[in-house]
This record gives sequence, structure tokens and C-alpha cells, in this order.
Amino acid sequence: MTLERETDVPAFAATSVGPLIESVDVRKRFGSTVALDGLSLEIAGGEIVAVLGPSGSGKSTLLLCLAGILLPDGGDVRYRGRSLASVPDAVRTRLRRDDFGFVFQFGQLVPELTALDNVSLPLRLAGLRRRDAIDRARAFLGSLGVDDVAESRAGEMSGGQAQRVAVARALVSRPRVIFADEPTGSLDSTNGELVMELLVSTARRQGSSVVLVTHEPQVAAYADREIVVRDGRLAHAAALV
Amino acid sequence: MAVGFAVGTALLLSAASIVPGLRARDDREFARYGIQARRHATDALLIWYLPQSVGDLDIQASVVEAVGDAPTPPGLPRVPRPGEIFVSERLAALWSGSVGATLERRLSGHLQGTIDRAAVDGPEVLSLWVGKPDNVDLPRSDAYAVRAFGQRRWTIPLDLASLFITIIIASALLLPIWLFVATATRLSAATREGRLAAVRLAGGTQSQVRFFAGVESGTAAAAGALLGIPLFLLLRPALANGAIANTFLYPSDLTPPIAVAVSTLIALPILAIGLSLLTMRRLVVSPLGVVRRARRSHAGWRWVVVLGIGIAMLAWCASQHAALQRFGDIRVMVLVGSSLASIAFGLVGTATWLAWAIARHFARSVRSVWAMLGMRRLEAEPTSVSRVVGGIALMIAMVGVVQAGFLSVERDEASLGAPAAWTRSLAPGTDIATSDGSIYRAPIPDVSSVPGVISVRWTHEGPFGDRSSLRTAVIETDGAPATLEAVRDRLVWSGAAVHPVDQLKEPWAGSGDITSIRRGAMAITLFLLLVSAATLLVAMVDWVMERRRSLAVLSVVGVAGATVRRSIFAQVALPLATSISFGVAGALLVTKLVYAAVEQRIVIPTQQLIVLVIAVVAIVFVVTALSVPWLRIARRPELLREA
Repeated sequence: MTLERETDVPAFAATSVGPLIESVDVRKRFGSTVALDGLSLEIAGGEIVAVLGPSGSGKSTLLLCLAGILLPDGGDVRYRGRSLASVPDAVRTRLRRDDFGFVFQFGQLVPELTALDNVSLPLRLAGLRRRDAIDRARAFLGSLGVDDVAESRAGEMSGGQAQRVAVARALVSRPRVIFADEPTGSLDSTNGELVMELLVSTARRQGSSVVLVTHEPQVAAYADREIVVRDGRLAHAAALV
Repeated sequence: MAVGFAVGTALLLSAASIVPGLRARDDREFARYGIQARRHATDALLIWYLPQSVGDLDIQASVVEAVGDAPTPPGLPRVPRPGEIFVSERLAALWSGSVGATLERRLSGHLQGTIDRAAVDGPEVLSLWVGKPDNVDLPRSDAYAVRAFGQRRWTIPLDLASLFITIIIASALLLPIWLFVATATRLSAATREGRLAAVRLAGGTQSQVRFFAGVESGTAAAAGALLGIPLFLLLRPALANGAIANTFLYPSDLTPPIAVAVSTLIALPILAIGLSLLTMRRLVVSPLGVVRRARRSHAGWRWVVVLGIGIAMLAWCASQHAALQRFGDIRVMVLVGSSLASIAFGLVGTATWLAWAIARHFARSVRSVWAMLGMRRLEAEPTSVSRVVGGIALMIAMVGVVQAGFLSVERDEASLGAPAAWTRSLAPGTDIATSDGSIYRAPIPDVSSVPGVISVRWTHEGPFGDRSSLRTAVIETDGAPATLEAVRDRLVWSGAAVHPVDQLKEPWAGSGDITSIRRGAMAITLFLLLVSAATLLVAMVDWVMERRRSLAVLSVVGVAGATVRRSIFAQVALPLATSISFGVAGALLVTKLVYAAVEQRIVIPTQQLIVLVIAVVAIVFVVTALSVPWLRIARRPELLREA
């Protein structure tokens, strides 16, 4: 069973051998507050990068800019060599559907959908047949140890279960990049470790890059490289492996 | 929310002012009723009721002559002296044209003043009092001798059971308005989640948060209720201008009883607090935000039982023909009212439950993502939008019943007779007939000598085939307007109403009340449909804004806007289909049972039902489409930052 990607998105075909995602002098303001102040960064294919920093430093804003959810006020974000700001919103939507996966701290599951529906959603959006999408989602839930909540909705799961389901949804369509914003922020340490193990191991197995925003050093330790953001600028970068 | 309550207050005050308005009109009518004097009383006012027509205007004319110490007609400063004319405000407004000149010439009088409103039924009335000219001889035997004016209005005492029925009917009519107010409250409760979460974050308990929310709702409702008063005053002239069953009222008469107005102003904030607490019972306010608890099971099958009980009760009542036909049998009336209420609530509940059950069944198997999203949403929370849609469908049912009843009565009356042979033989616009021979008492002057009159013949057959012992004169003319007025001039003191044949009222149009009430019911229905549409829009916006995080997540994972939009239409279409099916089926069932009970021939208002169904479908989908701009706002992925 393979996931057939839509072929109507030529905008982000690989154009050169270079970084998968690249931010160049990115600036972003919210009113008078400067969130990002000329931040440049490169992320290679398959690389796991942890973004650390104190509250309000601009970590989450950086993640949203890299994912094309927010458009920067200045500078540029490029995915596979192509500027995200230069393409229409519909193309960015397809990009998020086909190439990106997301895990947030809480509340990212669609509440009216069951766990199985949530996980199969990206597959069905990508054009997989309903039955195949359901089978694959069920298998994925099983591999993450949450197949027992397949028919439950978000409100009927524990925080750890909901987060594992969210990881399953982010990974099930084999995205090229996973954006994770404080993925263990609402979990206890045991569940937090479990979620990180699953996220990182599956991403490595699939060859997905991961942009991991966290303020916890033990979570950042799962990454290949960590960068520290302070006052919207890159304060420190170091390879961990 | 305050705007919602302002609209609700204005509508409630309007509804509460209808009965006082109609009562004031009745009071005026009874105020001008004379108390008859003995045949040869020495102190009396002699009144000859001699209707007049000018062009296509019909005027109630009362010719008076004082005998001894005669009572003064209501609304006049004195008994009109010979030739003095007092007219209603409406007629006074038309007096400066040919109408005034014609009437002054015809009645040998002159305008003296206007009749006080206290003695004119309504603002549309064309009436006049004129003192009998000295040179006119009218037989006293044709006059009503009146010794005083003003009769007590005859009223039916309202017992507890009647009051109960009245409350049920009023509640049913006001249901859409209540629903609108409730939805406005709910919207307010959902959109202040940020503040409520902040209170929780600052250490407030769940019950404290609810208390704050309740006080907030109450305050906004009180402000809205006060705003509703000027809004009501703005609406009042339109309401007075024939909006109530084609009845015209003085705007000032549309004043709700002070107790009702004060109660409304007090009750609405209390209601808002209650509704706020009620709608928040499924909201979990945490320091991180507000979450609505989803419902897995939906015990809506209970509504099937309610519906069944209602139908069984109504069927039993229908079998009690004799008791039902005795209007005074309160027990049967209470049973009928209760069964109709059970059916109404049962229909909405059952249709909502059925939509949920269908959604639940198909949510797993539908292929498209938009259908899955729509079905799952309907399954998770089947009530909010569905109930509004169901309420609209219920209105169709009730309107169907009412329309069917009125149509049946109209058709029965219409079948009284076909046009008479003499009517069919005349070309409209070229001939004149006199009608209402019942007031022919004075010798009818010969009109055959009036220039333009071709022939005069008498018949006992009315223009629409109805036969009577009284005679109707058929006056054939050249059709010129001047000839018509000349004939009317000649017949001025005869009491004969003279109308062109194509302006004659049909016998059943004499009961035009039924038609106007039916049209009034349709107008009220359309008005309530608009209120329901506003409610649906508020509910949809509420729904969208409450789920903005969820919608933003869908956007983040790559669900296209068109997919979300289609899912919302699917979410609305299913309850709409079940509600309309149940509404129409319920309408037909209730109509059949009720009209079988009163042995009335049933006429299914197919056309009206089709029009209403189309109107409802169009309204629901247009309103859903109107909520799309909010959807665009709510599904912006950057909202994840704010949530």
C-alpha cells in the first residue's frame, strides 16, 4: 500500500541540492512587538533540529513561519529552494497537506472526529481510498500503542493518548518535514518520553526532518542539532550528534 | 448579544401590544354603538345609516336629526346641525380633492370639523356624520332612535384552561423569538471564552466563572431590553398599518400593558442569566481555554415517544366529534392543545435525532472528506444547528395546518354559487349594479332618466347566484364615470350602495376576513421565518467562532476551504431534509386529524407547502452561505498562535 501524492503541485519539486528549508533574515512583528528580528537558518533533509529559548523569544513564531502558516514581514522562507511567500495560499495549503506534519502542545485533534478519522484525514485528503486510509491509520495507531482508542474522540482520551494520536496523524502520510511545537508540554515525563521516542524514531525511519520547538533540554536532546533563539535572533547553534 | 435582546424585546413588546391594539379598536367601535330609544321617545337622536360611494371609495355616512334633548354622537362637539358634516381623519385628508366637493354637493352640506379618534374604529376608516338637511324628507320609520351612546364590550371571561391554551399558542408563536434570544445568549457565552479562561487562570473556580458569565449576560440583556423600547416604537407604525390580519390601528393603540412591559424588561435579563448558565453546562472552562464536551449518545429516541403520545391524544380527540364541536368543552380543548404541543416538540426532537442517527450511520462509510467532516460534526453535536432548522420545519407544519383550514373554509364559501346569468351577460366596466338590497326601505328614485342610463331591471338573484327575498337593481349604463356619480347623486338618500359590477364584492368575500386572516397568518409566518433565519445565522456564526481552533487545525493539516464549506452545508442539509420531511408529514397528519374531527372537508395546501419548503431550503442555504465570511476568518491557520 503506497500513498499516491497528488501530482498537481509542481511548485515545490526539488530544484537544487541544498537545504530543505531555509530562512533568510526573517523578520516578523505583532504590533509593536518584534517576534523575529533577522533570523537565518537552514535545515537539511532528514535532520532533527531543536529550537530552544525562553518564553516570548520567538520560537513558535519561527516554526509557524517555516511552515508557511505565518508569512514574514521581511526576509524570506524557502522550501526546497522556493519562496513560500511567492506562492498562493492554496499551494501552501497543499504543501501542508502533502509535505508537512504538525504536532502541537494540545488541542490539535479535530474534536468531532475519532482518533481513526483524525489519523486517516491526511491520507484521505491526499487521495487515498477510504478503506486503505483507514487500514493504514489503524496500523499506525497500533504501532504507536493507541489502537484501543481508535474509535474515541479527543475529549475521551488521556493527554498522552491524544498526543500519540496527534503524532500518528503528523507522521502517517510520511511528510518530508514535521513541525512540533512543545509536543510534550502538556504531558508528564513518562508520557513525554514515550511521545518523543515515537516521534523521533518514526521520523528517522521515514527520513523526515523535524523542527522541534521546546524549552526542555531533555526533549531537545533527541535532536541532531539545537539552536537557541533569544529576542527573535539566533543566539546559539550547536550540533548534538 | 445586546442587539439580539433589543430585537427580542421589540418583538415581544410588539406581540404584547397586539391584543391591547385590537381591544382599543373594539372599544372605539362599541363607543359609537347607540342604545336604542323607545319608538316614540321625545329625547332621541334619529340616525339614518346611508352608505355613500365616490369613485371607488366607500364611506360610512350617518345622517342625524335631533329630537328634543338628543345625545351627542361620540367624537363630536355637538349634534350636527342641518348641513354640518363631521368627518374621520382619513376622510378629512381626502376632502380637499373631488371627494369633498362631491359629498358636499350630494349631501347639501359643508365640512364643519373632524370626528375625534375616540369614536373612529381605526385610521383607515372613511366615515362622516351629517345633520339632515331641512329640505330632505327621510321617513322616521327607517331611522334608529338612540337615547345614548356607548355600550359595554362583550367579553368572554378567561378561565384557567383558556388561559392555558392561550399561553400554549402564544408560546408556539413566540418560539422562534425565544430561540433567537437563546441563541444570542449562547453566542455571547461562547465568544467570551478568553476572559473566562483568564478568570480561571487567576484562580476562579468553575462555578465563579459561571456566575460571572451569568451576570455578564444579565447586564447585556438588560441593556438590550432597554434598547428594545425605541426599536419597538420604530416598528409600531408598520405594525399598525395593516400588518395584523389586515387590521389598521392607531400606532398609539399598540401599547403593551404596563405590567407586561415591565415584566418583559425584568424577565429578559433573568432569562439571559438562566440561559447562560444552561448553555454553559457543557462548557468546560479551564485556564487554557474553553472546551465543549462532546456527546456520544443521543437519547433523542425519547422524542419519538413524545410524538407518539401526541398523535395518539390527537387521534382520540378527533374521535370525540361531538365534544370537540362544543366549543365550551374546555377539557377537550386542553387535550387538543397538549397533543399539538407534544406533536410539535416531538417532531423537532425526532427529526433532530433521526438526523443524528443517519449521520452516525454514514459517518464511517462516506467516501469524501467533506461528507465525513459534516456527518461527524452532526454526530458529535446534533442539537445546536439542527434544532433551529427543525424549528423552522415545524413552523411549516403548523402553517400547513392553519393554511389548510382557512383554504377549506374559503373553498366551501366559494362553492356557494356561480355568477348569476345577468352578471355574466354584462361587460365589466360598462354596467352598474346596486347591491345590498337589505337597506332598501326608502322608495328608490327612478334612475332611468339619468343621462347615460340604458336600462333598469330588478332581480331577486344576486350577482353571484345567491337568491334573496330582497331585490337588486341592475342598472345598465354607458359606463362613463360621470354616469355612475350621477346615479349615486340620484340615490343619495335611498341607502342604496351603487357599485360597478366588476367592483362588487363576492358573497364569500363578505367573509374576506378569512382570506385576510389567512394572508395575515402567512405574513406572520414569513416574519417568523426571517427571525428564524436571523437565529440560524447567529447559531452558525456562533458555531464557527466557537470552533475556530478546530477549524484552524483543519487548515493547518491541509484541508482546503472548499472542503470545510461543503462539510458545513452537509451538516445543515441532513437535518434540513429530515426536519422538512417530518414537518410536512406532521402537517398532513395533524390537518387530517383536526379537520376530520370538525367534519371539515380537507384541502391540502400543496402549492403553499411547496412554496414554503422552497423558501425554507433557500433561507437555510443562503444563511449558511452568509456565515462563510466568518468561516474564512476562523480557519486562518495563524489563529493557532492566539488559541
